[in-house]
Amino acid sequence: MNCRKARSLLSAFSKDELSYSEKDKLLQHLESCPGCRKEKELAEQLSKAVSSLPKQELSEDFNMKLFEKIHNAPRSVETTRAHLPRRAPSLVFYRLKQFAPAIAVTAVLVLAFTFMVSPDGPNGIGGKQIAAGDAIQPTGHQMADNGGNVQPVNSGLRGLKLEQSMLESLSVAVSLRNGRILDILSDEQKAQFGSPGNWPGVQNVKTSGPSRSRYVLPTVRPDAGLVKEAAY
Amino acid sequence: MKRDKSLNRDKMSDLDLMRRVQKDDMVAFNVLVNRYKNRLFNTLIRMLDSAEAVEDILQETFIRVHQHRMSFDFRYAVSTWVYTIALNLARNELRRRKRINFVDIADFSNRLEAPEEKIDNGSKIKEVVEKSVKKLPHKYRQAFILRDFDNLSYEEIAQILSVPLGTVKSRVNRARNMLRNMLKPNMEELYELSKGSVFTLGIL
Repeated sequence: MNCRKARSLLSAFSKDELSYSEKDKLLQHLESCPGCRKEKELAEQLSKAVSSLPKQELSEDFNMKLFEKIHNAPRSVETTRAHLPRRAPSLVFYRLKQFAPAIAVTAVLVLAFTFMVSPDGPNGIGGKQIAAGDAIQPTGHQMADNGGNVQPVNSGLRGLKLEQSMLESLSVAVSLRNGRILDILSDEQKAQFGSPGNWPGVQNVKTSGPSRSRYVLPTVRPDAGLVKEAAY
Repeated sequence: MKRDKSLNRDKMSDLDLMRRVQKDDMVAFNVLVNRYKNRLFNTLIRMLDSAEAVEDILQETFIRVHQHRMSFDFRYAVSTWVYTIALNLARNELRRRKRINFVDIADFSNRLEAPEEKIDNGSKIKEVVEKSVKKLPHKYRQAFILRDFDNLSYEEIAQILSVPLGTVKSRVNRARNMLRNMLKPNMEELYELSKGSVFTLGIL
């Protein structure tokens, strides 16, 4: 044991808080180190001085004032909450909590980056954030790309909710499972394949509000279990 | 409430007292207040430095204990609960002071009169130790006071401060070492004084 380590243990030693092995090593060091022995004496003096500091007492009418306040206090529930004791957190959780802002910022950046480089493009559901004229190619597996001929796949459409934005240039297919944009058709492709409402399997066309048309497959139900079963 | 003379509440455990407090036994509540008020006063006075502010905080602490008596969780110690409430209120007070930026007049005049701390007699030793404790950074001071003045266990302190056990141990040890280093220049003198001082003869 070196002097630095020994001195860091002296306070705990003076309070008899060391483990047997630590105590043993420290005592061995103290035998051979006069500097640390002197430091030990100081630690012991300080420990005794601290524990013998005088105790002060509250004013005698403390309880009387308190009971008066309690008696006069409104019966309604306080808005401020008394802090209930909690279990001390584990070190891992405590450390994570300390870095929570950094973790949150990193997560947001990673998500933003992932979204930007995602083949689905940086679009919101319904294509609201897509600029007109953007040339975005269909990428999802719902659309089979055979030598430039994009065809909607019947089974792939199951479990999808299709939306057409008011930008007219784009049609958007949105997964009900996770809200991700799966396919975006350009103007040209739209002209080739027509409106999603005409795709095979899409029988029901609903218009929700002035901003968008929504195409809903009859097989799609808002039941997560059924959506999961649908072929993606 | 009619006082039941067959019960000796002074000898009851904290938890038994709390059970009675939940049944609106104000005598039991009074015993509980007496058990903690001076302990808490001595703890908080070393953090806040103003007896008046500490008394106000303690009043508020016990009012909250009484108001929230029904929500007390019997898995925890009463001491932990009471200390948690008091220390949270003290922390709020410290934050408020930081915002308002109080200047302690006593501190200011002391600085003018005595730029360097000198130990003149036994009572000065206490003063120097007290002042040095107040110079510790808040988080270390808090852990140190709870451990070395209040003799609370490390586990209790961890619960009160909501920090891991290892962190409490390290803070207490760090505070003790900081205090020793702070007082080191005066300790030689303190040791010499101990030979002639009534106070130090008692403690050394």
